[in-house]
Order: sequence, then C-alpha cells, then structure tokens
Amino acid sequence: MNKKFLKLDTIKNNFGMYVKKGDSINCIIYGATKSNELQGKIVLQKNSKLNFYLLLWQCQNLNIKTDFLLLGQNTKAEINILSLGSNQDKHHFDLYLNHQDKNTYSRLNFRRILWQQADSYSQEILKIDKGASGSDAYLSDKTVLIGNNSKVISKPILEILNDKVKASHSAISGRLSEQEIFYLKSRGLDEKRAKSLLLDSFIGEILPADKGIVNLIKQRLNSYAKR
Amino acid sequence: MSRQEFNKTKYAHNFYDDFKPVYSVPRGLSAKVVDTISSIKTEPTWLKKIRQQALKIFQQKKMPSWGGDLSGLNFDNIQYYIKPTERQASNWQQVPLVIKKAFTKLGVPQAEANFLAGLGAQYESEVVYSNLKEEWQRQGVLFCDLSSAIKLYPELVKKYLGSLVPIADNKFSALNSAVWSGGIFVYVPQNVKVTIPLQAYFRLNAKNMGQFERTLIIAEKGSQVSYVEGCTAPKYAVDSLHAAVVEIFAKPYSRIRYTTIQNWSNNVYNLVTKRALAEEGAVVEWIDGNFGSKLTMKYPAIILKGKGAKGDMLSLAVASKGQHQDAGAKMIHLAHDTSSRIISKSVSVLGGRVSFRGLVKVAKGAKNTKTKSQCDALLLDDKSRADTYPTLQADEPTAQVEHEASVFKIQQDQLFYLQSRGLSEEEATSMIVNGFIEPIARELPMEYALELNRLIKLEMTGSIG
Amino acid sequence: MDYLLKIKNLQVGVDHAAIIDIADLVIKRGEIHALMGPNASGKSTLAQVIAGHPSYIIKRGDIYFLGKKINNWTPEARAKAGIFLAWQYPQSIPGLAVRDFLRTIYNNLLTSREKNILSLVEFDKLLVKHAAKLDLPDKLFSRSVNEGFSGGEKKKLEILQMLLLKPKLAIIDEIDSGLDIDALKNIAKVIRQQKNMGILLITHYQRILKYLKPVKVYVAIKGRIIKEGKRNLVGQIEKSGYKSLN
Repeated sequence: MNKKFLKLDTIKNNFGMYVKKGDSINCIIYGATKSNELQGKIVLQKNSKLNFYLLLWQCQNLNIKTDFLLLGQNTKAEINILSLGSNQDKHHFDLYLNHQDKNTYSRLNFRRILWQQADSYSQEILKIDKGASGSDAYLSDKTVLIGNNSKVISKPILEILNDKVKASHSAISGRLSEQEIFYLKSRGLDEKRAKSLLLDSFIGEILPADKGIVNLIKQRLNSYAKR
Repeated sequence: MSRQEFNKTKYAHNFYDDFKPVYSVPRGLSAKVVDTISSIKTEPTWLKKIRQQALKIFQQKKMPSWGGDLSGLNFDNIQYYIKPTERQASNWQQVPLVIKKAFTKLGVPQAEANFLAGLGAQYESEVVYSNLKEEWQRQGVLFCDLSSAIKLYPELVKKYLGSLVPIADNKFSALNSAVWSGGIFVYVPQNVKVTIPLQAYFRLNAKNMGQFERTLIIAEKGSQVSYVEGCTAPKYAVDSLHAAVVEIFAKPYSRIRYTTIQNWSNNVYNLVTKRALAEEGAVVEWIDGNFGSKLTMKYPAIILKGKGAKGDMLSLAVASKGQHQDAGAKMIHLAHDTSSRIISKSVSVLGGRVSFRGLVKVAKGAKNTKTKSQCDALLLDDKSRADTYPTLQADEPTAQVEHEASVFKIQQDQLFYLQSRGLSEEEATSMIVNGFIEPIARELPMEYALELNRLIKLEMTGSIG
Repeated sequence: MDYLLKIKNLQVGVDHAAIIDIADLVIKRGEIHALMGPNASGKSTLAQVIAGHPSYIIKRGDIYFLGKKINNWTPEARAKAGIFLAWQYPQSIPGLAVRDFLRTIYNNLLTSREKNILSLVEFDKLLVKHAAKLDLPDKLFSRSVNEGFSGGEKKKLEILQMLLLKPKLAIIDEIDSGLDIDALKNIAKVIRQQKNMGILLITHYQRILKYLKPVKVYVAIKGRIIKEGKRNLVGQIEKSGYKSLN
C-alpha cells in the first residue's frame, strides 16, 4: 500500500489525487492551521482503493471543499474525518462523494468534538449515478458538543438515481450520553476519566493505524479535557 | 389491463363536472383582479390593504431557485378566482346538483354523516357547504369558511391571520395573501375536546384554475381537535396551481392533529406553506400525504415555542411518472424540554422523483430538547429517483439531534416469498409497498387508509413487467 | 396419475455453472421423502427451483406436477396448483400484519379455485383453530410477517401457512432448526396428520426423522444425489456421517 502523510499547513489552496487503476492508497492529512481554504479533488479509477484520513485540530478558520469521485468500477473509498474544535474556531466542510460506476463502495465517517464556542458546518452529498448499480454507500456524521456555546450544522444529503444500491446515512449530535457516563462511574471511574474514555471510544473507530498520529490526537484530547 | 385502459383509470378522481360558475375573474393577475376578489367578498379595508400589499411583495419576490422545476408555471395563464355558487349552504339540498354530485362521487357527504363532527367543502374558489354538528356548536366550537369568519369574528381572525405565515415568507405565501379565497376557520374554546374529526374537502374543477385557500386553526388552552383535509382535481392538459396557506395555533396544553391527503392530478403545481405554533405542553401531530401533482413543494413546519411542546410529523410521498414530490418537514425548537419526531416514507416509481427536504433547528437555550428524524425511501425501478436533503442545526449543546435516512428496494426473495404463496407479482409488490408505508397508513382515518391503499395500487399499475 | 411430483434429468444453473443435477425423483400422494445432505449440497436450491425461484435457470430436464410440465410456471401458478414451500429462512415483510397476510393468501387461493372467500370473522376462527395446534399465540397475528420473530416462531408460521393453504405437495426445508424438542415433536405430529399430502423433507440432521418416517431417503452432495435408499440410510449417516457415503 502506498502511504502518504501530509501536514495540513503545508497544503496551499488546492490538492488533487488520482488513485490509479488497481492502486491502493492510504492518505493522512493532519494537523493544525490558523486559516486555510482548501479545495480538493480525489479521483478513484477502476479497482482502486483509498483510505483517506483528515484529522484536524486547532484550526481557527477552516474551509474545506473536497470531491471524491468513484469513477471506475469496484472502487472503494473509506473516508474518515476528525475535527476537534475549540475557542472560536469556525469550520466549514463541503464534501461531495459521487459513485459513478458499478459496484463502488464508500464509507464516510465524520466525527466532531466541539469545545467552547467552536462552530462547525458541514454539507455531505452522497450521490449515486444512474449507472452505478451495486453501489454501497454509508455516511455517518456524529458530533459531541461539549462547549456551552458550541454549535453544529449538518446537511447530510442523498441523491440516489439507481435502485440496485445500498445507501444510507445517519447524523447525530449532542452531549456525551449521561447513561454511559453513569455506567462507567458505577464501575468506579470518576467523571473526568469516564468522559475521556467515552471521547476516546467516540473517535477510536476512525483513527488510522499509526501510533504517532494517534498519540498526537490523544494528547490534544487530554489538553482540551483539562480546561 | 392495457396501457390505454390504465391511463384512463389511473387518476380515479379524474372526472370533470360540466359546471357554470356564477362569477369568475379573467385570467392573469393584477391589482384589479385582487381588488375584485376583495370586493366580491365585501371585505374590510384592512384586508383589502393587505391583499394589495401582498401582490406587490409577490411581484417583487423571485421564484425559488431550489426544489423543483417551476419553469412551466405561467402566472398570467391562471384564473385566480371562480365563484361557484351564490351563497354557501349548510344543507346538501341547497348545493347545486352538479357540485353535490361531484362530492357524492368522492364520498364526502357519506363520510360526514358517518364519521365527522363537521364538514366544509370547497369547490373552485369558495366553500360551497359547511356544517358543524349541533353538539359541537353548543360547546362553542367555531367552524366555517375563513371569509365568513372575518365577518363574524373579526377581532379573533385579525389577531391570528398572517401572524405565523407572514405575507413575505415566500413568493407563494405572498401570492396566497393577495388572492386567497375559501379555506376553513376552526376555533376550539378552552378545554373543549372535539373527539371526532372535522373535515374539509377541496376540489379544483376548472382548468387553468388557481386554488388559494387559507386555513386557520386555533385550539385554546387544554382543548383538543383533529382536522382532516382532502384535495382532488381532474386531469387537464394544461397546468393548474394550488397555493394554500395553513396556520395552526396550539395554545398551552392543547392537542391538534392535522391530517391531509393531497391527491392532485399530474398537472397541478402544489406549492403550499403550512405552519403550526405549539405553546407550552401543546402537542401537534401532523400527517401529510402527497400523491400526484406535477410538482409539490411543501414543507410543513411545527414551531415548538413553549416548554415541553411536542411535534410529530408523519410524511408520505409517492411520485410516479412525470411527478416530483419535493416535500418534507421542519421542526423549530425554541424552548426547553421540547421534543419532535419526523418519519418520512417515500415511494418513487415509473420515473417519479421524491425529494425529502427537512429542517431541524434547535435554538440556543432550548435545553434538553430531543429530536429524531427518519427518512425511508423506496425505489421501485431504475428510472426513479430519491433524494434526502436534511439540515440539522444544533445551536444548543444539550440538544439531542438524531437523523437517519435509507434507500430501499424490494428484495427479490421478498417478492418470491409472497409469490410462492400464490400471489401475483403485482399483488406481492403492492403488499410490500403497503407494508412499507404502514407506519403512516395506520395513523389515518379508516376511509383515508383505504383510499391510500387504492392509490398505491393505481400509482404502481404498469410498474411491473 | 399416480404421482404428484416427478423430476427427470434436471440440471439447474445460475449463470454458467450447473448447481444441481437430479436424475430422477418421484413423490406420490401421502408419501414422505427425505432429502439429506451437508451444508451447501444444493438441497435448498432444489426446493426453491421446485417453487419457481426466478434466479435459477433450468438448463435441461423437466419438473412435472400432477402430470403437467411446470418448468416455466410462475411461482404463484405453482402455489395455486398445490405446491407449498416451507422456507428455511422465511422472508420478513415489514408493515404487513400476519393476519392480513394469511387472510390474503388464503382467500386468494379460494378465489382461484372459484370458492367463496371467508369473511374476517370466519377466517379468524379458522386461524385460531390452526394456530392452537402449533401453540402460536394470537398476539403474533398483529405483528409484521416474520419481522423480529424468533427462529421457532418463523418455522411455526410456515407450518401454519401450510395448514391454511392445504397443499398437495409440501417441501419442508430445514424445519428443525430453531425449534426446541417439544415444538419439533408437535410440528412433526401436525405434519403427520396431513394424510394425503406428499412431503419432501429437506434436512441436514436426522433429528426430525425420528418423528417423520420417510419412505425414501436421498443424500445430496454438491448438487447431486449420490445415494438413495430406505429409512435405514438415515441410521448409516448418523453413525458415520456424510463423508462415508462419498
């Protein structure tokens, strides 16, 4: 597998990626930035596979627009986005996932944790074209609102033009579950520990298998938790 | 059934009444037309003024650039007012025979006798019949057409009219505010519980006609009412327009159920604005069924303004050939401990398109709000289309906002299972589709549930083989 | 006609691959035949083929029912003629109430036989009578068909349909999975009471054959019947497994 690591603040404006026929790419974009406007276009050709991670923290002003085009048959895209917002961060995501050919597969997992006055907006369009029989698409968009003045808007969109497909999405936002916190407390954990454990598990399923990056994120979570 | 026979029977309400109205305005929209409508109704000056103001706003406002294709809609080609009869009746004997026959064909007087507390029947621009059973009159329930209400209870109507759907809300609410005619007024006094439904029936008969009824429902503190409306129009080659406005006020701890099954023919643009305001502890239940029409754009909203208010929206849309249902629901949470649920089921068949468009908004301070929406779309063939366009906005971190949407198709083994019990493919398909919409169908009054069943069969005829 | 079902030189495929090859199988009225075999031996496929599943293509050979060739019959025509399949994995139909489903299929068959349909009340009586035999509670009737049913409830609902539709031939696919021993005994008893019905019993295990005695036993492996014999074949399989037959 071809691996790519990119630090967010090194990307200027536009980025593009071709995942060529039969290729398999693991791409991780991560880090912090003061202000960034990004336009990305990622194209998957026949039989190719993409594992895409966008892992963000300390981004004051962020505007990301990315298109994922599953152009060829039997392409597979797993997209994981984590965005940690704090202070007065403003995030804007505009994601477009288009299944153009047969037997294409996509998973978009979006996780947000927002502290203080962080404000996050996202539109996630999942479009399955007429010719894309056998496609399988799922979008999951979950946000934990921690800050008393944090806000989130989600617009998960489905446009389905073929009946022989699987397509669904789910979006959830709110506090951490009181029920789950209570459960962990009843096992002897204090509130802080319980919450941090729940946040770890909230983002756990979308993190890449890269210790260095996972540690960076855990540290970030810990430092937010102390506030 | 052959294709031709099918086309003939497809829209069961596709009968045209050979009927001469007592008065009608010429085609097209102008200050004069608006004034004429107001004059015929001998309306007070304040209302006359509102109408003219609304016309200006309508003319200034742009057509919506989202939703469905409105390019075929020609406002100049529409007749804005047709007065069917000289006066309104409260007895079917007084209704002109042709109109009475039409409603009888639709089963309306029969339903009134058997299931209803009151009935209003609108034909073209005016309510030709309205009657409330004595039991409810005695308890102070008011039920009549809105124009009469303005004369009989001016202060009451003035206080509420246009306060929830302001003129300038959108282009079609402005149009309705300018040319509205007909529609029902319902007022339920404090603590009165109307235990059987009130019903309104709207029939559009003339071609190129615009129907612009306006409905106002007020349920006072602790009261309860269920209001049901149905709509039909015959099929013409030319387009008709239906642009209604509905305003519903649920006072503290009242309970309102609003049920509408709209079954328009394929040439009707159905562009309506419907909204309910729920105060403290009030419950608004909304059942919205959309069949037919060329394009429907309709997003009923419940504004949960008082603490503990509850909103429930069940939305059903079926789009067949040449139809686009752009329908949905809005829930606006303004107070704490409010809760809402949206269930949307859609069926797209024979190239039809259903788009669910929804908004769930939780305002800052609406603490411990819970809202859940679920959109299920059934696609019956590869020509049809299903979309979901929800917006979920949480400005309050303690709000629990959940949304789910899925696209379904009928599984071959499900079909085969039913066929292996002796059912034909058509029967099996319609059973599965009826099962799919059952969570909504079971909330309908009996005769509407049966009607729904029949409609589903009709819309799907020709979808197999 | 002395037989219900006759299969001759049947080869069935999906796309290009042949998945079933049956030279000869004849079932008469009142007979119980058992088709045994390990997983993926094509037993269930044969059941679905006889019922007319559209995914399978008959490449050669014929299926006869009551003297008529039914190769190209629709599934509903076969059901109306008297073929019933009790599914191994019955389909669920969300929103379709069991009572409505059963009444529809029942009256549909009556209509096809030019008999008068039953009213709601009459049908309910009949339903309750049959359900009692299977120990199925009334509350099941208002639930959606097979939706959230336990394995046992699903199997009982299959047999309930069989009792209602009174087929001439019942193909009963893996009825014993998901049933506890008492329920299994009871279902076997109910099946035994259908005196004139021909039965093709498909099963992986021998358990049910203690209670239903087949006149003939077939063993299928990889889509072919590799052995047939009398009831004693069951004992042989029990002792040394399917592999010993290969």
